Amino acid sequence: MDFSQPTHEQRWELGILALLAALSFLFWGMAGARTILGVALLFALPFYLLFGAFRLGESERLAFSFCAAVAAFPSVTYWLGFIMPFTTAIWVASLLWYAAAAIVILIFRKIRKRAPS
Amino acid sequence: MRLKSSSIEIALLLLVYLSTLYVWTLPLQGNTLPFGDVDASSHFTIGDYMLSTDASVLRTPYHITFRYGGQNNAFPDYLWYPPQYWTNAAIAQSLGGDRLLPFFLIVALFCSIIVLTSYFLIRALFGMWPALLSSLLLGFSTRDYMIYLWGQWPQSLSFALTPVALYCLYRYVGSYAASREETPGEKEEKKKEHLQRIIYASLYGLVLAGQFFFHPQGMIAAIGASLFFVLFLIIRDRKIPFSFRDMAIGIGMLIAVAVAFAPFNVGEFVMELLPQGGSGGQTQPPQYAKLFQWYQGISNDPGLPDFYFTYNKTHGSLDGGLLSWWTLPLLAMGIAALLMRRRSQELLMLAWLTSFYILTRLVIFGIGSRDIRMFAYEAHVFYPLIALGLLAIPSFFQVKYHSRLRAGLIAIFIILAIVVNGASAYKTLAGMQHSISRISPYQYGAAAWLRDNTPPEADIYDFGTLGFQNYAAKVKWMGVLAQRHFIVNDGKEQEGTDYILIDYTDALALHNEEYINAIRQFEQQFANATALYNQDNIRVYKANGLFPANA
Repeated sequence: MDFSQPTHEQRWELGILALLAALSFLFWGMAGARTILGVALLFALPFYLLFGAFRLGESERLAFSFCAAVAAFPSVTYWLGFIMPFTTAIWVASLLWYAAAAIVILIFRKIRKRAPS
Repeated sequence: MRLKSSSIEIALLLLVYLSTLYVWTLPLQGNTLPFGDVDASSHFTIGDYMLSTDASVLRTPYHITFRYGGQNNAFPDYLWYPPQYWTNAAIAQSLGGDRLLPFFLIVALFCSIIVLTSYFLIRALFGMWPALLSSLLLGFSTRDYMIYLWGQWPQSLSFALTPVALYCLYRYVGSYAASREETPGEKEEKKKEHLQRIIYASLYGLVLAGQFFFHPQGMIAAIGASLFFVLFLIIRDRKIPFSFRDMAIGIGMLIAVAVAFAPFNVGEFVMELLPQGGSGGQTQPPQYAKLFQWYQGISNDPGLPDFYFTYNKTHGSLDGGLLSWWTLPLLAMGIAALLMRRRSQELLMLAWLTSFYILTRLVIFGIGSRDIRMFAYEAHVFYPLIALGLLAIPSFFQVKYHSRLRAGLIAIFIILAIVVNGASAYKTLAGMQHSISRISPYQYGAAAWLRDNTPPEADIYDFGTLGFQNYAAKVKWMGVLAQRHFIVNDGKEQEGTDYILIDYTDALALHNEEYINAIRQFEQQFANATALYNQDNIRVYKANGLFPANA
């Protein structure tokens, strides 16, 4: 995965996210834009990165990262919310999922390096 | 400069989804105050309570315990559904920095996401046009936007994940079948294929677990469709289309994730499945006539309007008329096309349709009483079939006209979808913008005052808010916005009343003299008392023994 050279689809995805955020701002002000950007960057992006480790198509990657984000992100946040303030748990959960994505990417990169191409 | 075909596809899909989002968020445009019937307020309050106390919630909060306490049969004091949907809502509230708008925005996104998940599956099975046309129609689906307006939000998200679960299964059986073919290949390549198969099997289990987190009905629907798909493949190919080891991985994932992240709700689900078990599982005597009926034998729920059990109004226009039937012949053609072709993708759609037929008729087999709620996914199955039916028409004509005929049919489909279904959806959703069924700014102000100025376990009796006589949705919303227990008018709980809320706002908005006088008469008993809150025709009194003695 190389974000210095985004694919054609990834350019579209970034554009769509920016458009959605702009439209939300236009319709509902800062709260609307914050909701869209917050959801995308804090809890959907880690899963999108994580699924980049597997051999999946772009549409698969988007669909699976949406499913994982809406199910797995709140699962971790909820249980963290018993040992720390809930609002802190949101950020900690996000950090944990970003870390998990990084670890999975590293592991798969190592496996691929070892395997003959 | 020529546009890439993938760019055109993405732009068209974006147009479809943005149109859907625009229509679905009409109730939020210019008014972000709550809407939603029945259980909607409960789906708001758990996350809202978590955020306001800055802590996760395990047990049902006091202010709704009289309604939902005990609904979790395995752990009566604990939350009755897994907490994931409500946690998502709380996260959105926190990220958006507002109590109401981010909640309703995330709900609109989640409820309309079926447009994209359906596209994902149908695109993989049949290509771009069936997927695009089907998604366009889904954006205006009466079944779906009504469930959104009524407030069965977790169920809606759960059903939206079914296409993703079915996609995983479809890809899994495809790669399993390919691996069983005796083709020479590199050992390394075979290993990669095996890993890919394991990934699809695991993702299948994980998506089912996600469905369980939001509402078990979606998971049951996906499992039902999966079982029929496997059965149809076995009948067609005379061999088992999966490996038991892979299947164990998928099921293991589902069970492990569900138990790990919703441990207090798995038991409740299992008990619901048992005969006579659970709150929603009251069994009825077998009704075999339903096997030969679609809606007629089902329309027995007093909580649902009549149009819910008519084809033209739920899949055409709420205004009715001849044009509102336009999708029905296409649906019949779509089903016929599936039966004739019988490739794996057609069998998957047939399996989904069969599961829908069976799950909406469970009472025939003496199982539960939730068949009506399974109608929630009717459009998800029907609309791809309608699009397939349309695109099957050119196959009846000479080859040289195919592309022109196809283009013409697609154009007619789009026009009818917008003019008939779209116009109806727009009218209904725009009509919600300033509906009296929604909380008004005055009521929201009073609820906020109650939250800030009364003890957490105060019991409040509401007299005057629309539907107060039968504890209707607005009174429930007042309770969750105040985070206080609003008493049900059953003559028992009134003994514990701490505060009385007198609300003239709805009666005044309706210009209903009789309604206003009834409230005035009730308020007479507080003539010598001073209202603790007195703004915008809403007053709050301390009970002080004045009520219920004089009520």
